[in-house]
Amino acid sequence: MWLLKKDGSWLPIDSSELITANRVTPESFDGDLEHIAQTGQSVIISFSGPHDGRGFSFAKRLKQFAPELKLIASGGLTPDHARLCFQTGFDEILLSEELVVRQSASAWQTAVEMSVDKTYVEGKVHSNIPSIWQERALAQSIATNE
Amino acid sequence: MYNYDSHDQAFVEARSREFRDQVERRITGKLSEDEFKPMRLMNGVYLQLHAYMLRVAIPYGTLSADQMRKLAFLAEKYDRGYGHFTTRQNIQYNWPKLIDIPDMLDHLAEVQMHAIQTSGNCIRNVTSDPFAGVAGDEWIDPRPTAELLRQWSSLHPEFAYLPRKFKFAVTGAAEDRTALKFHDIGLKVKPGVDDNPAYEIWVGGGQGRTPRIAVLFEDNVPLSELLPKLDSMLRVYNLHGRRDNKYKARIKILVAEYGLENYRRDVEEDLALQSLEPFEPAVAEYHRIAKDFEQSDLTPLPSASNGDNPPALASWIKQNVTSHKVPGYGVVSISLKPKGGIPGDATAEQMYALADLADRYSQGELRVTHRQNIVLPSVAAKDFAALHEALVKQGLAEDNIGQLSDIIACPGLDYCALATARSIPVAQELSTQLREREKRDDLSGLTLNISGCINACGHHHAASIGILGLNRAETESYQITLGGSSNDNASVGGILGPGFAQSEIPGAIDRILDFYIGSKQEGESFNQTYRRLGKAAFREAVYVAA
Repeated sequence: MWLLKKDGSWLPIDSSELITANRVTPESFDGDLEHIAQTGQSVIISFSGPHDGRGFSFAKRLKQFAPELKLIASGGLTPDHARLCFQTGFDEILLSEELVVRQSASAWQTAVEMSVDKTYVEGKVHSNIPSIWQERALAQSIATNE
Repeated sequence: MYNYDSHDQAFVEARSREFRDQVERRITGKLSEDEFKPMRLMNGVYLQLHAYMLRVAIPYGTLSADQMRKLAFLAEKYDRGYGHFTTRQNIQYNWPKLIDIPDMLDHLAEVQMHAIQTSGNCIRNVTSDPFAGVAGDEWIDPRPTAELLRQWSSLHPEFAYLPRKFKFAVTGAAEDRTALKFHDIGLKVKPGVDDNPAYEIWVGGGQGRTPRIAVLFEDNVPLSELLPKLDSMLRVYNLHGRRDNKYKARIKILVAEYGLENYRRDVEEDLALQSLEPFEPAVAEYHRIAKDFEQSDLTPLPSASNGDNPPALASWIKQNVTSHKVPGYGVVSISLKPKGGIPGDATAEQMYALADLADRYSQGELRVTHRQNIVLPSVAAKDFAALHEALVKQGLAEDNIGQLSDIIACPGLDYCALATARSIPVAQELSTQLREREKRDDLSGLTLNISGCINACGHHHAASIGILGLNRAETESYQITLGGSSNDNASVGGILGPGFAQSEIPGAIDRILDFYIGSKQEGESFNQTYRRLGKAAFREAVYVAA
């Protein structure tokens, strides 16, 4: 198993190291965010497949409720999901050996530097660079002050 | 028109590079077809019956002349010399090679265009009123809101893999020209306070196999609250929309099964948790965008007299020109429904000509309508004759806007992998028949829409007369619906009875029209006659008379 982090670094991990993490699936979530927040410091959110985006909204809501929680994505993801994961509140992505080998290590390594790395509403995931709207607002503010 | 700044330009160029990389990884086997499929769909690339199809977004239906030229160029270079304008203000190319599509996207980016989210289970191209900014009945221009939504939804990290596709429409006029109540979310823009708009939010409309008319979610929502609210509405849908059955996955089913009040409550609970920081620039963004849409100065002109016009020109003006908010100008609709033609198709040559005509007569701007026609939004009345003459030369002067022969049709089984029957030959035959009939009967105000399968891309539910092509025992069979409408009094057409063979449709349509013409009261529309007399009377006229 491998863990991909927001800053693009990644490291091998023994699955036993995640034994204390709370594992949840968006489809079985009963709405009790407080219960999840109280059951550990790390939460592994499993995606049922590359077409199911519930995990993104689940992470967004959970991170808003409990910002201190470490959120880890797992399941059948592709490198193209990395930006979505990190912009919706995930801290790390758990990858199987098979995903790394087939989709290529380089694709995963560069996943967080993908060409579309910020949107109008969300900034760059690992460097505190603002969203497009925030950049425009900042530029407007500077222009007004000058 | 909205003009990209360096951020917008960098964004579409980056997306183009990203898709090129995805195609390369698919070709080299790093991505499986199952993994690649949602990525290509999110970029408008379908695998159709015979080839890949690329759907290009025309955001809120607005095009510059240069953008139209680029669409013509793509049709020439990468397709077979034509394109197909769709009911959601997109254009489709039916014959590109997968390996060429990244180059096509680069060409599009050169003129501030893209194919982002024109398909897939994500927020699709936002549609709007093709008469926006020039209509006399407009409260407020809907395009700044539509552009704000385009920016908010483009590559939104949370809503790229929704339970199903999600369609927005925005209008700001008394007459609905967007089929607003058949959208997942429809926004009516109205004047608010402090020069900011306010919104009616309608939710849960849609067509497909379970047609639904949207219900009012909330009225008078201020601009500053719009995007956080929409974000929460989408989040609740993403979490709770059904994923066990694709035919029950649209938000219309969630709203119907879960209940509007429960849905509203969940949205409010989600809003209470939301960080509003990302949306803080939205109001300023709206006003920045709105500046680009301020009408360039049109000097009011004296109205041109049409009294001495030749009959063909007079008829074209009467049928295809709508009043403009500035005196002396008209909003000119150009029909893509020639007698016997394919609805919505335009050749590259026609597209080039339309671009030139827009430059010459309409400040370089064009619109695409949900009825698959083109609009030149601001033409001086003194130029009508010259414009008409130029359109005649291009085969684009059909005077049937708003007539029954102004048919909507999907590509059907001639192209589409989902279709169960052909739409195009049915539309071609009916347009020929109806153009003849329109010479003796007043068929204005009636609509005829054709879908080649239950997914209803041809909007058959929403027409006075709808035709749905089905496959019954390996034979194409066409079901007729009556009484549908996509305007503000939206209604879903009712099934008339058993289906017809393709050869039987012209006769059935004639009998429907005979009965309507013979039964209507003074000033009564088709749907009013249908509702007054009821389905049984029409059914008897169509089936018993046969």
